Amino acid sequence: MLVEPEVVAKAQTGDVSAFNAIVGAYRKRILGTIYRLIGRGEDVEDVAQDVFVRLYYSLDQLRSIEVFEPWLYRLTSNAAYDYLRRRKRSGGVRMADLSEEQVIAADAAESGRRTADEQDAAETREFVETLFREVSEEDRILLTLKEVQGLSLKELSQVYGVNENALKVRLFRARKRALRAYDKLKKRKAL
Amino acid sequence: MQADREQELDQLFASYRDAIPELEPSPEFLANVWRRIEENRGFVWTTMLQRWAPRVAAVSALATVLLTASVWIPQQQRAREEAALDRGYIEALTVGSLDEHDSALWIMAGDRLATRR
Repeated sequence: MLVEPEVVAKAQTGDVSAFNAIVGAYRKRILGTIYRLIGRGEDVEDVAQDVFVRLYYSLDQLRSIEVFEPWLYRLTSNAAYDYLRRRKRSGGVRMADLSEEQVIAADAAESGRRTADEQDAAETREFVETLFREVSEEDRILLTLKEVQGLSLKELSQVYGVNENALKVRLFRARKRALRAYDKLKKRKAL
Repeated sequence: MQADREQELDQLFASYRDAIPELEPSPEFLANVWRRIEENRGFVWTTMLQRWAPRVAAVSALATVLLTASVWIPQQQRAREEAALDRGYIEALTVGSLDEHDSALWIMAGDRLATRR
């Protein structure tokens, strides 16, 4: 844990400085996780703040301090899920929605400001972002936590509150759907 | 073939992990968290009230029924008792008047017999 269990216990009693210490310790990790989960840099901070607001209002529901981190992951996943659903409903402009000329123009404008490594990283992000749009929000979050964030099955079972066998099945199905989307995207790219 | 695709997907996810830049929180991050917490305070109360409103309404309705019953049932009992008492008094009067009527008849019959003799 990034903070002592006593700090979490103090925050549960409403101690402001203890809560601030939790925010200070976890904000960078939460920002990184959210970025991987939602794939949109400009909204990361907003969703991360939402996570800490949720944390503040639900700290009293945390029964055991040992599960603080999985529980924080759950709040993070829930906030990311709500954001992804909102974005889907509002139908925000995405690269996939733009015409080919617009994409080329946007790429050209961006690439002028980027190094080759940054360009590769941007392309990977764009490809994975497109891949994740082909699967459900639930699959996206599960795959990100497992395959990108690197959470173990045990950690995931604490986050989701289900046993490891049920998670294995979910993961297997999510990977299958992701593979199908991957094949589809590769075919589209080859054309 | 399948294993290759699986491997490709794993590699893609690994590259994605590295492609995400490390973000630095803005200097106002904590201040914004507290601003949102304060903004949500009123909302939390409203949400709690909304959540509890049906239960409060049900409890109020039950309390109204119980209070009405606790006032109405004793009133009805009292009214029934009073009616029974009134009936008893009237019956007593009726019986009394009948007795008097009977004795008057007996007296009248006795007088008639006496005159015949």
